Amino acid sequence: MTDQPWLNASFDQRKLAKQLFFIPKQARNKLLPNRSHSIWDALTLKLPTITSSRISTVTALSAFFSHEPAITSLENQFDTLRKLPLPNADIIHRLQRYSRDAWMNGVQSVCYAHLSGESTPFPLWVITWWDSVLRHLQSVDKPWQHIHTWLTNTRQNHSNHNLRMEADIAYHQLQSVSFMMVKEGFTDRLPIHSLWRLLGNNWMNDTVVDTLLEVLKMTVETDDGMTARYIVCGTKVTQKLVDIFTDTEGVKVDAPAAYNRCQWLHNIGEDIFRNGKELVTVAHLGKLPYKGEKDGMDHWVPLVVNGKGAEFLYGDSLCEEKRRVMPPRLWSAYTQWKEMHTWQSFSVNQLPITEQNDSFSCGVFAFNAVEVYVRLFEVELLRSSEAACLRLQMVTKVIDICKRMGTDESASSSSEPSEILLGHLQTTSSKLCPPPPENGLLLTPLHPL
Amino acid sequence: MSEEDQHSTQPEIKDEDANAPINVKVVSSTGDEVFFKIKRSTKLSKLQGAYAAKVGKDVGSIRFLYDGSRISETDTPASLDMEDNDTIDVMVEQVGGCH
Repeated sequence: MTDQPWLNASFDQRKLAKQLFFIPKQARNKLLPNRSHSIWDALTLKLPTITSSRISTVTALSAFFSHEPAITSLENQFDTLRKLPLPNADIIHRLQRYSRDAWMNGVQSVCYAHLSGESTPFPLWVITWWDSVLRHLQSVDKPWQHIHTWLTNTRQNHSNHNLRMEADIAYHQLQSVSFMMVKEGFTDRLPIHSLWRLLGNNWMNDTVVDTLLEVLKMTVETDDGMTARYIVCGTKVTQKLVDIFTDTEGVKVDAPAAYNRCQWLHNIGEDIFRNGKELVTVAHLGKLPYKGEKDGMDHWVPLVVNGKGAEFLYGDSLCEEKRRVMPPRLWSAYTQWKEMHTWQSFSVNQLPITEQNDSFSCGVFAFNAVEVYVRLFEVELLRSSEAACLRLQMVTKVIDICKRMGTDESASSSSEPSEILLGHLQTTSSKLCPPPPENGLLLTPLHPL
Repeated sequence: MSEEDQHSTQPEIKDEDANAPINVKVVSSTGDEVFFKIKRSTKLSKLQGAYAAKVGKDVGSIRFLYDGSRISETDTPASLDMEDNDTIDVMVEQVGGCH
């Protein structure tokens, strides 16, 4: 017997272990949310709680395994499994890693060693199920319970009719799709439940900001004129430029060589600085302190690089005087990028943006600022109080696109793609959607952009 | 690379090119490099999981980019037309809202 016999497992042993640790379909259907569940359905499913690490005292992983054969009449045990609290998260992670070695050492079942008096030997796949439940509770249940409360309160907001209406539409949109539906049409292809940071008072992450920028990109791509003028890029452009051209000490010596290895960035640079296109993006100031500050801040800002007009357009929703100037490291990264393609000097000018008077809406306002820049005659700058409205509109719009793209991929449609896209992208930040029909599906009328 | 991928001798290889392994370099924002050998038909999500485990981070907190585009769960080296010795950029999740 070795410490890590799994490392020496044969192909057949690995294949067998895969079967034993795989949650059977019947159990999966009974014990986990499935594809037929909307996000709201998934929240109502009864799942076990997690034992607090302060309460749980068992740390010997071997105590969770038994050489006894597992019980076979499992159907009667589903209710029991739903009720019994799981070990704490740390133990579940460790058990996952240790379980194959334990199986190689001859164990046949799993038991709830963290619960005194509970010694039923369950099948080995229960370890996998614990991990699935834990991941669901952490990445779906917990954030969406908060969103559900927020949406419910917003739907009952009698002082703001527009907001209430948007909340109703978003609620029904979320009800109409599986919480596991893939974000078809978006590059990350993550499940729809990953959008939780788009709603409530949550801080947005790069995935959500990139999703919003991709919606804007789709709008641009429906119009030849806009396509010829704008390049909408995700948050990674700035992140990569900063990595290539700067460090905390200043300018990197090997930056040109690193840049030349990055062909995709080089192509965008040519389009902007040689062909006069305009880059539209949102940047994160995590590693980009303002002048006189030591550290950056977890903050989203809009940024436009106008190649034809030779200017950087920069905004900051915090609107303090010192934030009217680009952070030095951000300016340095973009200026060095420019100098890889042209020696023309670029000015830095203000990009209009809504002033933020809360602690969570910079992502919304940064996106709105670049959307207004691209769609000046269709979209207006939000008022400070309208951030929630845009969040709701965007989640509705994203699901609309996913539904359409998913349908397009599964069934070959005879419709012109551009017409479909126009229909779903017409709703602008400042214009309200009509209320949803009874089935919760939203259809927006087609108008020329 | 996951343990499963290390078993590169599949009994039924239908498409030799699709299963031919390639070398992929994963580079972090600090310049650290990790090398993987992966079959062209293997989902890159396995590589992502293996990388996250190696650097001790949650895979959800890391972004993997190939040629400037984010790699999704279902992408494979073949679907992205990756070639031997290609590079994947790793970036950390960014979250912002302000104070």
